[in-house]
Amino acid sequence: MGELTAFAKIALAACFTMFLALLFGIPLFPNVLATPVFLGITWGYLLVIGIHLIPVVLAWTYIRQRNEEQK
Amino acid sequence: MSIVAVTCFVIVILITLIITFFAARQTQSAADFYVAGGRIGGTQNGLAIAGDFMSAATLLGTTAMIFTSGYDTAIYVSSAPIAFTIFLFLMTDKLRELGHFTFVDILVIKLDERPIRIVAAITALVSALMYLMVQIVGAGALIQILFNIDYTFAVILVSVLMVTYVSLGGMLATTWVQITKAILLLGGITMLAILTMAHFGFDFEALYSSARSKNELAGATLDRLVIPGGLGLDTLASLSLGFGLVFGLVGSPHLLMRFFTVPDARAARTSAAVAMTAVVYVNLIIYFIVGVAAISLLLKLEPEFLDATGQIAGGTNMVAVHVARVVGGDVFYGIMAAVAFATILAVVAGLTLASASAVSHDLYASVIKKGQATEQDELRVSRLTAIVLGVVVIFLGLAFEGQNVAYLVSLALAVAASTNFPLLILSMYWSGFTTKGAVIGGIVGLVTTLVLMVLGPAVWVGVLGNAEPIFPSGYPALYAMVAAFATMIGVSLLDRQVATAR
Repeated sequence: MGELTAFAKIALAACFTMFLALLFGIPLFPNVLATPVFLGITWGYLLVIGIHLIPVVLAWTYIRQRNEEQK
Repeated sequence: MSIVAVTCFVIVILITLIITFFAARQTQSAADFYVAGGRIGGTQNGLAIAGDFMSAATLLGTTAMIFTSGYDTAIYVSSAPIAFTIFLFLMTDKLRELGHFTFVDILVIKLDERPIRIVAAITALVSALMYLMVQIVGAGALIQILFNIDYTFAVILVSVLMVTYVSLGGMLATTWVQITKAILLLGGITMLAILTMAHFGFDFEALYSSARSKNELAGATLDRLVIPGGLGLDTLASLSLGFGLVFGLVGSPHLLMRFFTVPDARAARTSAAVAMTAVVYVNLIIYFIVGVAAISLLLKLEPEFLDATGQIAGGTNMVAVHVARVVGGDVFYGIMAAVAFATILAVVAGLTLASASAVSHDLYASVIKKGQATEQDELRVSRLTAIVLGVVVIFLGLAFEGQNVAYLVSLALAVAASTNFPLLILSMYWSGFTTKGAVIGGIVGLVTTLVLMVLGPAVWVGVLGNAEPIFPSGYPALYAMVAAFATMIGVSLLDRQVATAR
C-alpha cells in the first residue's frame, strides 16, 4: 500500500467505515437507524446520504490535489 | 401497445445502429477494437463508465427492490459510491499504467502468462456472462410489457442487437452507445424526479406520508421505508451482500476494461470521479424519490397496472416505468421505457466486448497461438465469440425469467468479487503473490461461488424447483471471497517456502 497518499488512505477508511456501519446496522441496530434526527430524517437516511455525498466530495478534492501536484 | 413507446424504441435502436456504423469504419486494428485506440477523454470515459455501470439493476431492479423491501435497498445503492472510491484511490493509476487490453494483462506482468491467462480469462468470462444474463432478463420483461410480445422473442431481439454493436463497432461503438445512454438516463431520471415531485406538489412530506399510508393499507407490519428488515438479512448475509456488490463491481471485467481506453492516469482518475458523480445522482433520485413514489402510487393500485393474476404487469421489475406512466402519461412512459431499454443495450454491449476480449485476446491470441496470431485472426475470433455469447445468453435469460434483476446482479457480482478482485488486488499490492497461489485460489473462488449459488435459493429452489435450498443463504460472496483470499495467500506462502527450501 506504499504508493497511496495519506489523503487516499483516510478517504478509503472513512468511506468503508460508513459502509460497514450500514452493513452491521441493518441486521443489528435497525431501531437506531430508524430513529429520527431532524425534520423526520432518520439516522439510516443520513447514513445513506453520507455514503453517497462524502465519496464524491473526497474524489474531486483528491483529483484537484493530484493535478496540482503534477503541475 | 403505446405508439409513443414504439417510436421511442425505434429511435433509440436507430441512433445506436448509426453510431455502430460510423464506429465500424474507424475500427481497423486490435487496439481500436478492444480499447478504442486509448483515445477516449476522461470526462467522456467517465460518462461511458456510468453508462456501463448503470444497468437494468440500477433503474428497474433498485426501484423494484425499494417497492418490495424498502430501506434495506440502501445496501444495493450504497455499494456503487464505495466501489468507485476503491477504483479511484486504489486502482485507477495502476490500471492505466499496467493495463493494455484486458485486466489479465496486469496479472501476467508478475505471474506466469499461460496458466494465469487461462484461469483469469475463464473467471472473467463467467462473471461477464452471468451479468449479461441479468440484463437480458430485464430487457425481455421490458419489451414484453411494452410491445405485448413473447418474452422469448424479446430476449432474442436484444441478443441480436448486442452482437451487432460489438462485432461491428468494437469499443468505439460501445463507448458512444454508453455515453448516449448515460445522457439519456441522466435526463430521463431528472425529468422523472421533477414530474414525480410535481405530482406530490413538490412536498416531500406528502410523498412519504402517501407511501406510508399505502404501506399500511397493504397490511405491512413495519414501515418499510425507514425500518430496516425488509430483506430479512442476518449479519453474515448483510456483509456478504455488501462485500459481493462492492468488490464484484471493482472486479467486473467490463468496468476494468474502460480504464484502458484513456490516454493517461490523470484521465483515468477523472473518469472514475465523473462516473461516481453521475451514478450517485441517479441513485439518490431512485432511492429517495422514484422508489418511494412506486410504493405510494403502485401499491394497492388501480387494475390497469395489474396483469390477469393481480400482480404488477410485467413483474415488479417494471415498477419504475409504471411510475413514469402515472406521473407523466403515455408519452413519458414511452420515453422512460426507451431510456430503460437503452440502459440495457449499453451494458450488454460492454459486457459482450469484455467477454469476447477474454476469449480472443487472453485465450486465443496469447495462450493458443502463443502471441503469433494476426490481428485479423484475433478480431475474427472476437466477433465469433460475441455471436456464441449471444446464443448462450438467450438460454440463460429464459431460465431466469421473472427473478428480481437487482438480486441476480448480486449473484453475478459474487463471481467477480471472489475471482477477479482478489487476483487483481493481490497482484497489484502483494509482492509475495505467486502463480500457483493465483491459479489455485482463482479456481477455488470460482468453484465455491458457483457451487454455493447452485445450492442456494435462487437456483436450487427458483430454477430447479426444489422445496428447500441446500445452502441456506442467497448471498454466497463473503464465503467465496474468504475461500479465494485464504487459498491465494496460503498457497503463495507455501510456494515461497518450498522455493526457498530448494
